[in-house]
Amino acid sequence: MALIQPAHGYAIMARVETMSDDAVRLAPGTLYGALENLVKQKLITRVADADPRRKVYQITELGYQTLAQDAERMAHLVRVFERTQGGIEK
Amino acid sequence: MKKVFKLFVDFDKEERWLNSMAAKGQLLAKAGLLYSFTPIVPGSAVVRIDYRPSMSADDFDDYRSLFWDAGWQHLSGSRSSGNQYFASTGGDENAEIFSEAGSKAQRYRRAIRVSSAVVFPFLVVTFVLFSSGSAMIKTLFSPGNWYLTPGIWEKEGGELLGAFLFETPFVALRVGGPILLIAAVFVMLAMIAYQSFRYRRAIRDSTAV
Repeated sequence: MALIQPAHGYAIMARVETMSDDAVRLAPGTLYGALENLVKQKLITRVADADPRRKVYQITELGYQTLAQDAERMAHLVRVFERTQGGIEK
Repeated sequence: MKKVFKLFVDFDKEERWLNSMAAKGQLLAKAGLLYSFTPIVPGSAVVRIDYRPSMSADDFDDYRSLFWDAGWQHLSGSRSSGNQYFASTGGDENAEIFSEAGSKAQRYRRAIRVSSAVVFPFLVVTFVLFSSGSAMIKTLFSPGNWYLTPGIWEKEGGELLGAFLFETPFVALRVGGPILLIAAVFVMLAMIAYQSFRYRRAIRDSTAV
């Protein structure tokens, strides 16, 4: 989700920290492996950038669809949970 | 500059040793069979190890830049060395390059994959040598046939010594080669087995609730 706008490694770490209200702090070893996997799964892709020493990535169409499906699945889970909670309170 | 000879197959043990050296004021400068150190203020740095199969020059730059941006100085490791050593001098002795145990365990998996690819051709050669029942292997298991000089063991005194000394280098080549090959295969297999054990344990620990 941090890659809807393109970003390079460290910018991703900073963005994830802000987006998660400081709850998620990615360490570089973990992030490097994660980026590698996401590229392999074609969920993100490398985009051109001026700085040759820092690769810039962005989400792909497939990545965006997967993200949207995931969000829908979680929203559904929340709706079911809230309904069930209501039942218990009665 | 201090130099120490050491051999590790366990990333966690190696990390612990390098950090105990850092606590004594010796920061890793270059790793390998021979580790060299530079003096620092005792305990002012924490050392962590990552494992990466060989990278292109671009990937290696990008990789080191990411760590650098996140506050990690690259101490040692080349594009194809596998092990990559980083130090953080931020003052946090619990600083980690992995924020999640699962990704830390993947170090072992990457290392196993690389060493398996290395050992495989050796394994094939060893297997072929054994299954073809080659003369080389037969000689290996009958030390009586190691020396080819006719009647060498019937000779006495100086004559025996002369023949023995003369032929020993040839024996070493004929017999030592295959023995070295087999020993190397065993050492590599043992290393892979140990790293798989470490990997499985790390994965189990990371998923334990």
